[in-house]
Amino acid sequence: MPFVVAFISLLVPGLTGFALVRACIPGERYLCRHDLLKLCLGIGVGFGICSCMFFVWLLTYGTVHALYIAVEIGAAILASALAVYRATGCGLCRLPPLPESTLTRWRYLVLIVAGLTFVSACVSFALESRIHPEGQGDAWAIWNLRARYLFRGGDHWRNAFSGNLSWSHLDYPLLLPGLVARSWIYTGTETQSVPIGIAMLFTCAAVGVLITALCALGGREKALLAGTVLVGTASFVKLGAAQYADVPVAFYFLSSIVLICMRDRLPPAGTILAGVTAALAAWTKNEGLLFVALVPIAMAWAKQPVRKFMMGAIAILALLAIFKLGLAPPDYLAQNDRAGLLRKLADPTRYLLIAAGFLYELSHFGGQGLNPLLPFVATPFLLRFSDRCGARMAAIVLLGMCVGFVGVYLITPVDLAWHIAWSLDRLLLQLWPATVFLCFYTADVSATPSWK
Amino acid sequence: MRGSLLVPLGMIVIAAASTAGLLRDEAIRYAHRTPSIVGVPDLGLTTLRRIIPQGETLGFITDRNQPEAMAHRLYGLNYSLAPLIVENTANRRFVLGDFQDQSSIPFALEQHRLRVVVAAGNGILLLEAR
Repeated sequence: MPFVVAFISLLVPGLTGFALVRACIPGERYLCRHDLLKLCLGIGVGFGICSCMFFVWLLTYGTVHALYIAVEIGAAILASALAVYRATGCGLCRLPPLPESTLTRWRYLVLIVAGLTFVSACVSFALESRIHPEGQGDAWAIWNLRARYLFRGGDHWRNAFSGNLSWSHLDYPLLLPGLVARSWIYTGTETQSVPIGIAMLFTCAAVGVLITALCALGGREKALLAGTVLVGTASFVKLGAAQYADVPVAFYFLSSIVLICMRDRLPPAGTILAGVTAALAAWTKNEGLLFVALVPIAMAWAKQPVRKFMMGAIAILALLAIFKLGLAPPDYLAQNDRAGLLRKLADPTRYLLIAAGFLYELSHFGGQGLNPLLPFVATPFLLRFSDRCGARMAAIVLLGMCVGFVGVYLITPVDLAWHIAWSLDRLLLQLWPATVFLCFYTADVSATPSWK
Repeated sequence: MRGSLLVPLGMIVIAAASTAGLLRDEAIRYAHRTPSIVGVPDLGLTTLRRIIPQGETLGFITDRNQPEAMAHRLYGLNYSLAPLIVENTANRRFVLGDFQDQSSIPFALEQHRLRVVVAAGNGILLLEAR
C-alpha cells in the first residue's frame, strides 16, 4: 500500500507539470505524439513547482500538514483545466515532415541497440537502488537528511539549517528535500521508494526529453542514437540511482536548452517555460544560479528578447532569494577575503591544477573505461555542422558554465585538488545531456559525408 | 565504409559496451552485497527515541582514527536521528558512542566520565554523563 501511495504522490506533480507544459505549449484536444515530450518536460516542471509550493506552505503555515495534499490536488485540477482550455492544436504536428536520412537504413540496428541499452540501464538502476536504498554519500548526507528535518521537524523545521549541520551544505536549495518531504506527507511514513522513484523519474525524464525533442527536430533514428549515447554513459545511470542532485539539475539544463532551441517552433510561452526550467535548476543546486544568469546573457548576445524568459524565472528566483537570504548560511565561497582572493587569482599553479583536472576528468569521462566523448571528438572531421535556431546561444551557455566552474575552482577556499577530485566529474555530467542534445541537434550524424 | 558512418557506429559500440560493463559490475556488487545501514538500524532507533528527550542535542565519541570514517559515522547518526542533532563532542548529557573495538569502550567511558545506557545496534551505544 505505501508503494501505491508513493506512486500517487509522484503522479500528482507529474500531472500538474504535464498540464502546465500543455498550457504553455498547446496540444491537440486528444493526445498526439509530441505529448511525450510535454510529459517528460512536465515531470520535471511539476516536481519543481510542487517543491516550491511546499516551501511556500512551510513559510506560511510553519509545519507539514495533510491539508497540503488538498492544495496540490487543487493545483493539479486547475492546471488540467487550463491545459484543456488551451488545447487549440499542436503546433509541432503542423510542421512539415523531416526528410529521410541514410541513418534510416540503420533503423532496426539502432532500435535494437537502444532497446537493449535501456533495459540494461534499467536493471543496473534497480540493482543499485537495492544495494543503496537510502542513496549514496551526498544523497543521504544532504538531500534525504534535509527532507527528514522538514518532515519530522514539525514547527521546528528550520532546525534543518542549524549551524551544527554546517557539513551538510546548508546553502543548497530545497528542490529535492522539499519534493521528498511532501511525498512523505502522502505516504505518512518515510518510505525509501519516494527518493528512489524521484531519482528514477528524473533520470528517465532527462532521457525522454533528449529523445523526444530530437525526434521532433532531427528524426527518430538520430533521437534514438542520442538516447543510446546518454543511457550508455554509465556514470549518468549510476549518479541517477545514487539519488544525487546532479541528474535533476542536468534535466533542467537540458530542458531549458531544448526549449530555447525549439523557440522558433513553439509559441512565446515556450520561452516562459524555459525560464521556469532554468530557475528550477537554480532551485536544485547552486550551479543552477550560474546557468540562470548565463541564459539571459546569451539571449541578449544573440539579440533575443529576454523578457519572456525572465517572466518564467522571476517567481522561482524570488523564492530562492527568500531561502538564501532568510534561511541558508552564506555560500562557502563567501569565506574568501579580498587579499586571499587576489592571491588565488594570481597563483599560476591553481590554473595548472584546474587544467590538469579537466584533462583527467574528460579523459576518464563515462565511468566504465569506455569514454562516450570519443566519437564526438571525431565529429568535426567527419560530420557537417549547421547553425540552427538557438544552437549558438546554447553553446555559449554551456561554454560559459565551464568557464564558471573554472572561476569557482580558482577562488575555492577548500583544498583545490580535493575539490576538483570530489566534484568535477559530476559537474561535467550535469552538462552532458545538454551537450549530447546540442551535438545531435547541430551535427548531421545521418551519414552524409562532408565531401559528398 | 564512409568516414561519417564511423561516428554513429562508434557511439553505438561504446554505449552498448559501457552499459553491459555497468550491468556486470552492478550484478557482481549485488551478489556480494552486505546490508548498507546508514547510522542506526530501525530497531535501535525506536529504543533511542523512547529514552532521549525531544529537542536534546547529543554528543558523539568514536574510537575510529580516520577523519573521513569518523565524519561518515557522525553524519549517519544525524541522518538517523533527525531532527535531533548530534555534535562531535563528549560534553553532553547523552552521548552516542561508536566503537569498532569492544576493548576501547571501558577506557572511553572512564576518560569522558560516561556510563552505558543501551546498545542501539550497528556498533552504536547510548551513553549518559555520570
